[in-house]
Amino acid sequence: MNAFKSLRSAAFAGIALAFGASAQANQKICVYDLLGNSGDVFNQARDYALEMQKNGAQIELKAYTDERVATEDFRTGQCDGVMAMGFRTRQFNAVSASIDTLGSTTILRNGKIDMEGSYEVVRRVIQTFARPEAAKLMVEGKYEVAGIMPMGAAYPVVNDRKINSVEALAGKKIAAFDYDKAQAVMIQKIGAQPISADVSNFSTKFNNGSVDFVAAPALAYKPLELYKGVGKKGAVVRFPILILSYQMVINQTKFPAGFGQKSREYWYSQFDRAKKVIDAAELSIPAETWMDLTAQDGNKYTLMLRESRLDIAKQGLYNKTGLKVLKKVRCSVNAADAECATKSEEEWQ
Amino acid sequence: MACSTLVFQPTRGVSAFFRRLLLATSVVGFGLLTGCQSLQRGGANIALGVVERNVVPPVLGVSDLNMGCTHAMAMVPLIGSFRSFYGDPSGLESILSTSASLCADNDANTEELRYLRAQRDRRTADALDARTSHKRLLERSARRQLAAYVQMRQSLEKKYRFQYGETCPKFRKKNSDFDQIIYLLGSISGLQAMVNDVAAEKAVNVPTDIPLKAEFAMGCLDNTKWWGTPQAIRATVWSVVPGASEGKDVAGTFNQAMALGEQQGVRLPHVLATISAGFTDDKQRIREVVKRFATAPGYVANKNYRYIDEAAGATIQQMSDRDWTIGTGSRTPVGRLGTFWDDKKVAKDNIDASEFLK
Repeated sequence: MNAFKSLRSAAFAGIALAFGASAQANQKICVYDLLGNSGDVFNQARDYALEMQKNGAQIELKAYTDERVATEDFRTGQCDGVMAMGFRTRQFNAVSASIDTLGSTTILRNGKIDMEGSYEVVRRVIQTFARPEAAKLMVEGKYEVAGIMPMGAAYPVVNDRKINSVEALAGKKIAAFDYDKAQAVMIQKIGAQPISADVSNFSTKFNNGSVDFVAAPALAYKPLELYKGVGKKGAVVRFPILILSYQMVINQTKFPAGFGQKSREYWYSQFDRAKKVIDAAELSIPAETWMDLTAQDGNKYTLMLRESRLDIAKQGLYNKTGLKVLKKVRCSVNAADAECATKSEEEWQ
Repeated sequence: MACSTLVFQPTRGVSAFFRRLLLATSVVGFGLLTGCQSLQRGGANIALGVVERNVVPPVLGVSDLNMGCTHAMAMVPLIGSFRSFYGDPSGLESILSTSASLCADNDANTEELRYLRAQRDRRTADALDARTSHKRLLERSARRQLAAYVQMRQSLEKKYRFQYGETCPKFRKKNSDFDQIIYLLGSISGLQAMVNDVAAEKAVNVPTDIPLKAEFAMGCLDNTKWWGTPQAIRATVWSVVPGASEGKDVAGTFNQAMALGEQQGVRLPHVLATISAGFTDDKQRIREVVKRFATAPGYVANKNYRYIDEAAGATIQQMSDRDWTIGTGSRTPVGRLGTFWDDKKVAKDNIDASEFLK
């Protein structure tokens, strides 16, 4: 009799679990990818959806080729999650979007850019944000950061190698994304002329000469034919302005408890896969197209980006808590940097 | 035989006399070899021309996709061996590699449906296994497609002295159909290679500048002659490359291209229209195109290019199967292409049975 009762309870529990699972089923995540459902990000999201099935989520993915529409559909509740660039997801969580801030992941050794060191900073920041200790920072209201992956450094791409200093940029036309307010602040600071642009038209503007300078990841170089704008006179400057990230943000009320943590851990586990794609894209830019800065200029511009970052944070456009985490991670990678002997970005006046 | 045995190379450690003798023999050998190369090249190219003119056209007319792609898989290494005789088989290789990729695509499609079915039923381990298998097959397909694209460029850039994606080849008005079809199918293969490589986690590392190059290249072909496909390819690129659609009528271009494809009996534009709609997960548009494909009134496939029309049909079938599998767990039932699992049923049971039974 007791055995029968246990069996019956177990059966009810099973049914309840099944209903519980189906009640949580069919979360919809809107994924922005330049190439829509044929793109690499969307492909990674497919693997993610399958992996998350183990955590009680039955995720439906929808591809978007317009990032603004994807984030808007998420904000208005048409999707339960969104995957878009850090610039766009900053509105949902400013701490995690601190990765996408001027020079905050750049490692400089003896005036020379250390790209592997810079990507190591990104890896450690993503790893930190994926740890349970950081969970509180990943939640703002109903929004929760459910994963971050690197998209590659945004390098200056110029149509003339003579634009090799900030002084030479004065008066030049620079493509600026309206939704990243920091860009306008920076362009104004160096005395250049901002030209309003977005992902859909910055390459056309560069290739037809409407702008002299764009900041773009290596991933965009070939697909958007930026080499046409570079021509014989231009170059890609090996000095990352920042390292771009892709972030997933979810409405946590639509997902099972603890889902966000599992999700962040999953995306961190995919770091090397994303890095491999970035490496291949950077290698696809011909060696002669790259332009290196002198050690003196490397130091000068790193300092300039740091000062700008502080100014922008003071204006409230960057998150101070996030910048503090980034500074600590930078110093864990390159403790010899002079900034590590100061409290800059740790204590704010 | 004589050609290959008359080649000597001077070696170290022999006396001056022998070195001179060997050198003289080598010069004679080289002269003979050069003559042999010309002879062999001429013979090889004649043989390749025979295959181009007499083997390829009947194959393009077959309606058995499986037979066609299996034939191509066997032929690619054989045709490639003509390089040993100094011939240039790259044009033929290109069209055969495109055809061979259809076999890999077909296998990949089966695995994709297995993955979708398992995911639907929450059999996660099975789904992961099928997805991995799907990716491996897509890698195989991407390798063949990239080969087709590269071989197309090798063959035509040399012959017509142009740069693909930058300038147009000047195809002769007569006797250039074979070259034009290599140009067309090789371009499609390049695009497919890139898409499949992304899905296979960039295992092949296909160049990512193919879409805009193909977009330019297709402007060099007569759109009407090639069943609306060149414009459909361009519209596909417009719909996915940021900024490329500015000032372009993407939907109108596809509609015109599909109408041309239907008139001329090759429905490749339909495939491109579904791929374009797929970029943004526009399921409704995909369904409309599948329905149009399946129900085009009075449609007759072009007997000269039936194989290409069949390949288009297989892709449309996969689009439909994907939709049905996500919805029901099973692929499109036989005879139901153009209908969908959640179509509203037309009431056919409005009879009064009691009336008949009185």
